[in-house]
Amino acid sequence: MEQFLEFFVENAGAIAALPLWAFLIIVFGQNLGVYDNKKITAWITCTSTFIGLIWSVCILFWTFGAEEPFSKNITWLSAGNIELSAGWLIDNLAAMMLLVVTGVSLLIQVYSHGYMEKDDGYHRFFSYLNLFNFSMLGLVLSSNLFQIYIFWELVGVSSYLLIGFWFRRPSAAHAATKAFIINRIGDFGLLVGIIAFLFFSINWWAASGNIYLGFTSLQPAAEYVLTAAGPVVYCLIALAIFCGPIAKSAQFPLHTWLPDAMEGPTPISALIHAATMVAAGVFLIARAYPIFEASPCVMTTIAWIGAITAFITATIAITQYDLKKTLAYSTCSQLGYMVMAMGAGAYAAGLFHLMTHAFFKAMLFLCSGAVIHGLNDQQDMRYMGGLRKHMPVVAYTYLIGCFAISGILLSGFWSKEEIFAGLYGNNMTLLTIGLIVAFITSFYMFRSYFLAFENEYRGHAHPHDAPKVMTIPLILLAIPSVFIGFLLSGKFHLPSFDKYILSGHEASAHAGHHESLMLPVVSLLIALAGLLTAAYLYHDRFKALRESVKITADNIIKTAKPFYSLTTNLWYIDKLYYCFIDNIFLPVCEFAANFDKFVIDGIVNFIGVKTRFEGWFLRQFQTGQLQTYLAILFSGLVGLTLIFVALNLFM
Amino acid sequence: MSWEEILIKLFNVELTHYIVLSAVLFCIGIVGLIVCRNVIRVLMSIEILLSAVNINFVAFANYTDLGDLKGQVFAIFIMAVAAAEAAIGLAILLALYRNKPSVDTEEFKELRG
Amino acid sequence: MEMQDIIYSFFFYAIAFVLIIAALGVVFMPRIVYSAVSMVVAFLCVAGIFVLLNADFVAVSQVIIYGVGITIVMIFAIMLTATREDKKLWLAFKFRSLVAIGSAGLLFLLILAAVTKGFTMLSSEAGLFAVQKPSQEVIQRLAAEGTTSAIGKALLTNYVLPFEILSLLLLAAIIGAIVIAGKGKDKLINPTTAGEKPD
Repeated sequence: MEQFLEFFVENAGAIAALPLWAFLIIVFGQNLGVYDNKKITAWITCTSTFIGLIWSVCILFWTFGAEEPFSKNITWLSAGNIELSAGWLIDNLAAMMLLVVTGVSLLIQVYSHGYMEKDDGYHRFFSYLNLFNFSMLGLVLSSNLFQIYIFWELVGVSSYLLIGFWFRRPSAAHAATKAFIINRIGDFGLLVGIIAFLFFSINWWAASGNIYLGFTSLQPAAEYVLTAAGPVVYCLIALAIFCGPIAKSAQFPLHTWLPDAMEGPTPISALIHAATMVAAGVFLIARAYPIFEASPCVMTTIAWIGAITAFITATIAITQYDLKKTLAYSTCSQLGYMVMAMGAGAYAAGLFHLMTHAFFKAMLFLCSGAVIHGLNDQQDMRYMGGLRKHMPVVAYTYLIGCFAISGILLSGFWSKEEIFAGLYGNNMTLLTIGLIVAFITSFYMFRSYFLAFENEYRGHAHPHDAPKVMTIPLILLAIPSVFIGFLLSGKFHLPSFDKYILSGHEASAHAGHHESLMLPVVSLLIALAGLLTAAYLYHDRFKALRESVKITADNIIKTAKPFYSLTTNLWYIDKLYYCFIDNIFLPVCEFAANFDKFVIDGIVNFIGVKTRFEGWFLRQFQTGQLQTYLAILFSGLVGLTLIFVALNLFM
Repeated sequence: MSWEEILIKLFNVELTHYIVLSAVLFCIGIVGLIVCRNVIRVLMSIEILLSAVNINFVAFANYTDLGDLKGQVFAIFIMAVAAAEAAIGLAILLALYRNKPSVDTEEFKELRG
Repeated sequence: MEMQDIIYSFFFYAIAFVLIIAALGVVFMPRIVYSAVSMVVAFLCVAGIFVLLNADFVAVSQVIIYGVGITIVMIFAIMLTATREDKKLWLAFKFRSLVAIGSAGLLFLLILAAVTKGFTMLSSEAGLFAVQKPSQEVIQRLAAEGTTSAIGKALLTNYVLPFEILSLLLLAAIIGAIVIAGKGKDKLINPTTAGEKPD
């Protein structure tokens, strides 16, 4: 049995290679016209992911019995004293992520088959999906920082391709470009950080004999860099590396791309922009945790950025009417939770929340996709309502998702509770923010539920239920959304996620557990308060009560006008960026362009004009008349004679 | 040097006089070769050039090599070559004239390509 | 200075004067026929110069080859091309003419300077080309036999190979002239213009 499992671990690269093969098969099969059956594409894709899922499960079982992480590397390139490797590293974290990615991917691919059936770009969609799967799995399997950077860029590219999948829509094209550019900013920081880190630690790597930038030996390397570079420079390096997660996980200054990314097809929003790719930022924080851990100021910055993101995006989500945008801001907010937990030292709690969030957020997005699909591309919640009667499965799974994300007893409760417990010991301010955000989360999630699924139907299109191929993944995702938090909570003699993740991480296992009942109860009460507020403001059952007390949503908007406009305008962050781009960036670009146009091009053009002039000058002698040539010949001869005679006469 | 000496030297005809004479002829021939617009006149200018060379050869033969007369032998050779050249020149001229009925050198620009 | 030398000088200058005028006439005469006549005069003058240089055989050859043969060729050329507008075809007043005249003048001055260093080396003692006085014996031999036998011997002894090659050259020139001037070979001669005029 042991050897049987080891086979899977030793060939773990196959998990990433399978989607790559599927991608190549679909691309070449389509473009060369080998086949044109949508079912073949779907089967290829789903089979490759299913094999990956089985493989991941085997790897997971292997990790239960493994003492040491498994790592397998080949030297990829060596230049001077740098030797970069490529390979895979299997530890508990990677096994967990593999399972999440392949599991969610598989369900979403099944769902996409139903969702995209009528679309012209069906094959293109699945080829992109496979490309993304390859990149994401490669990222999870990466054994060193440099390799992770390569796959980091690859997921960025596939995200770009998928956001801009309906590229004929200008808004989709713009959103794709925006996502790509903002991600480039973060990637640039990440690259600079990696290179700076390597620069300071290169001697250490050469002496230690470990693979360069390998995750297994990151901690001593980080200590070496800290002493070599000094605390200030080290802090800058770590922050530069943190830029990557900021962009990829849509954290505060660079979060604006994620809501726009909802222009892509809904399965993509579920897979990439809720469950997996945006979690890659958190995954990178977890992977590079020793780097951040060595500098307290960086950890504080990470925690605060997470908290700010969680709060700002949660407030924005309150006022959104677009179903998918609400979910997108909620994703930002939950990612903020994870980053905050990471920064506050609750390493395992952050990852736990990542996993639970991946399941229920993917489910929520798939529900919204089913709604949008059923209402013929209607995304505005003001034109929904009462959909529970028309699509009950979707409504109940959405409700489960709402309970889960709000932290009312389902899986989100357990992971959030762990985050709060981690914060409780460290930073009370952050804990307060976390609790406020928990209230807001519960409020806007149930607001969206009541607006979309309860009350009377306000739209015009005729709603129709989703097909089975779409509802079955919903139900399958609902199961972990309900149970996984409880099952892995570590309470009541159940298996503990924390212990699993933290095994082999003795140094970072300082997230002390707060074993009192107070925090869970408080968080549960807060979430219930959010639920009740939403129900009171948006459910028709309280209409009479609302009108008698005269506290309605409209009244609240009127009284809190400045705050309302702040959130509807997305805290003016986008406007600030556009202001910056219009007033500073574009003039600089224009200057550079003009410099290029007039000075650089001028030099080049001058050279061209000079050559043309010389050509013209020489062409004047090329008359075709023999006598002109003779004249030139003769005058040249006389000139030579003159020189010789002058030399003879005067020297 | 006084004017008398120069006059005496001018009238005492020596090798240099012939060389100067041939130089004058050569220059006239070159000018004719380049300046004339008529192809036939250009051919004539070539003959003038050859004559200038001949004068030089014969003059050197007379003043430095009267025993062997190599220069005169060469002059004979040059005359023969000149005769051949004149014949070929005439043939080329006729061929040109048949293609383009003109003897104007300005009109022949085929070398320009 | 002896009387003999004075007469010699007089003849030299007279012939040279006529020669230069005739040569200028070849180039600058307005009509091509005048040029041809002027050319005949120039060739005869060259023959006179050859006589002054003790080259009787060369002088006679000059008269026969140039004065008669080449002149006839030129006259044939003039007649065959039959230029009606030969006044127009006088000189090319172009930049190249200026260059040619300037260069030719410069060349002449250069030769003059090189040969005479400004007439200071006109004497035979210090000349660049020191004149060897021929021995009395040679002069007597030349006076008795003329140069014809000497040249004939040279051509058939020392220079027999160039002489034979020269005969080949003349043969080739004759055949070549016939081929080039022959009718129906235009495409061989000038494919570019032949293409323009497909007659």
